[in-house]
Amino acid sequence: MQLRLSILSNAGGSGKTTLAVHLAYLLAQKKLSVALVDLDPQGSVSLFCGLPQPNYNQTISSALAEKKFSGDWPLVELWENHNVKRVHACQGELALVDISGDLARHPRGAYLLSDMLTDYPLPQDVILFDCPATLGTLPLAAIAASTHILIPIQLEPKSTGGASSLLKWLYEQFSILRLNPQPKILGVIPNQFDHRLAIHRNILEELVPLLGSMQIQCFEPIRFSSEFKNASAVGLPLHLYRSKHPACKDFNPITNAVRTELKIKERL
Amino acid sequence: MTRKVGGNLLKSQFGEIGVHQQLNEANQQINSLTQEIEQLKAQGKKKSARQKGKELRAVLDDQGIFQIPLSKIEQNPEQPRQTFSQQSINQLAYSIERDGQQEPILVFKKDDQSYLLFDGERRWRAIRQLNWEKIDAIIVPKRDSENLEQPESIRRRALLANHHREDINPLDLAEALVKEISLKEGISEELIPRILTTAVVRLNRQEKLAAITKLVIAGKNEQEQGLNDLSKQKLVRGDEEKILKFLLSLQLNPHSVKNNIFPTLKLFDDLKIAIRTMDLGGHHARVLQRITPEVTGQSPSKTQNIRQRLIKKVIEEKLSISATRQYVAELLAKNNSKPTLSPETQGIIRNLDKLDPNSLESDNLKILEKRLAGKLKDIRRVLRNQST
Repeated sequence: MQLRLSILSNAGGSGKTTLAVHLAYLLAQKKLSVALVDLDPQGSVSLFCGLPQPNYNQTISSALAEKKFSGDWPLVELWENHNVKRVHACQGELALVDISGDLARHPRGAYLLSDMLTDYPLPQDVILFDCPATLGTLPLAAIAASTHILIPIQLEPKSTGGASSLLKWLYEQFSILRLNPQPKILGVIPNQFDHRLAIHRNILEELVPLLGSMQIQCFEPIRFSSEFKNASAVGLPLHLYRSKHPACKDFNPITNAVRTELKIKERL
Repeated sequence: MTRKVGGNLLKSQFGEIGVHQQLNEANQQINSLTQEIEQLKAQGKKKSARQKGKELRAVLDDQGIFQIPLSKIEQNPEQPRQTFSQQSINQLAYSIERDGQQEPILVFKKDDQSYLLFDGERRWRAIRQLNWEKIDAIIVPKRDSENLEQPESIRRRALLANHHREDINPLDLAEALVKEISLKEGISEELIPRILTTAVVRLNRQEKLAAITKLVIAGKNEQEQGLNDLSKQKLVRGDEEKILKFLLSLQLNPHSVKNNIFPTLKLFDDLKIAIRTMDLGGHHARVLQRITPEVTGQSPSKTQNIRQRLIKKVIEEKLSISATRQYVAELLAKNNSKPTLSPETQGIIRNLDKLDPNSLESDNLKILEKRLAGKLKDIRRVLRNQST
């Protein structure tokens, strides 16, 4: 059974890639195999994982652009030097901008990625799609191929505004694309939470019951720490960079939720 | 009262999501039921198909029943032909003629001029036989992979169902109301505000507005009863009753709609845009509507610029309505050589202009002469004092 999870946010800097990277690492620690697909033209997965800039044919762009994709997904193993097993990345980069346009013109457009995965499945237990921070063809292709969705946000007006538009867009697109079954919105994750800031506290306080009234889970916030930036600068998850840092535990509820969803799927 | 930083922001951002969730759920139900019905029909399982048809109607129920001209409805070429005996059609026609069409048919909408029959062929044939012009139908969102548009009608109905949420602006509400009433009751869109105004003015004169206000929060039956009574008293007629009934069913006060909602339809385009995109209030917009080329003495585009500047000011400084009125008055006084008359003065002058001495008897004329002379004296005295 395979879980395919899109990480979307509609606001830059909300911590999508950080979340994707840490989730990938932690799931692998629980003996699950993970493929981390970077759909962001910025190629931040490569950056945050310490990978050198990829060649075009080592990226997801080449796979999506191919007229006849034959199933050789360009995957590269992550954190081999640190004895991490089971995590592979499918890198993205600037050419994804063109792909974004191509998807709009392709007859199967939004479903292209989903078709590719149907015809040539990836073997991993979990696929994570790290999406760009906009509402366009790339995130659309991701959700059409996804079973679940996670939405990281910052506790600031621009980010929450982006999240609310994202949610509306998602419900619209579920209908328009006639996705069946529809991806499950696993939850919203407040990121970079600084308890010293009143605006963060106030927004968090309002957000939780508000999302609850819409039956959308709000996870415990991931705290702000400059160590996240330092870790990403050397291409490592916090757990490999500062394993004793208290922020490491913040991801556990999310990891557990993902594992629970897998178990549910297996039982069905 | 200390304002929490970031407070109340989320409510306005996330307010509408519930509606989208509902729409999504409704769409899902509709899709799966439609699929099931088609499958059952293809398998010839008529009874089960009918049962599912009932369920589908229930889901679509709050979308409203439309009266669609029979001339616009075609049989669905993709559906298997069904045979009905002439006798059964005759029977149904007779019972419909006597008791009316009890259940609406279900149709797909291709465009404004053509609909495809989805469910209810027997009823359709019977009503055609009766030579009726229109048939009651519910429109099912079209199951066609090319048509990837969100049904506008569902969105509109969701908007109307949730109009009491604070973030729906009066202009969007006005347009949705007019469109919906026009489709539902077959009244031409441009006429609807006028019809409402006529009714409200009459009811006001007959001092029946309070009764209407009470009906706003009453139940459906009470509302129907109340309107029936007014109709019997000849205080509301045909189309008026239909419009009032619709507004009351949405818990909208007709008086308020006439005063605050429908007038937004006649605003200048730039004011409409401001309402929709810049959160300009309806009342403020109506005040700003006074800034017309006639009154500023400038070209329409220059006048628009003047309006734009004031819109910005109103929004940025969060001006109150009275402050806005003041600014408009000052602005008009500045841009115009004609002196601005207060509404009071305008009213008096209007009455004066209406006065025709030839139509009055000498007794009345003499009294008028005395009174007017006295008033004129007072006015001159006050003017003298003002200029000193």
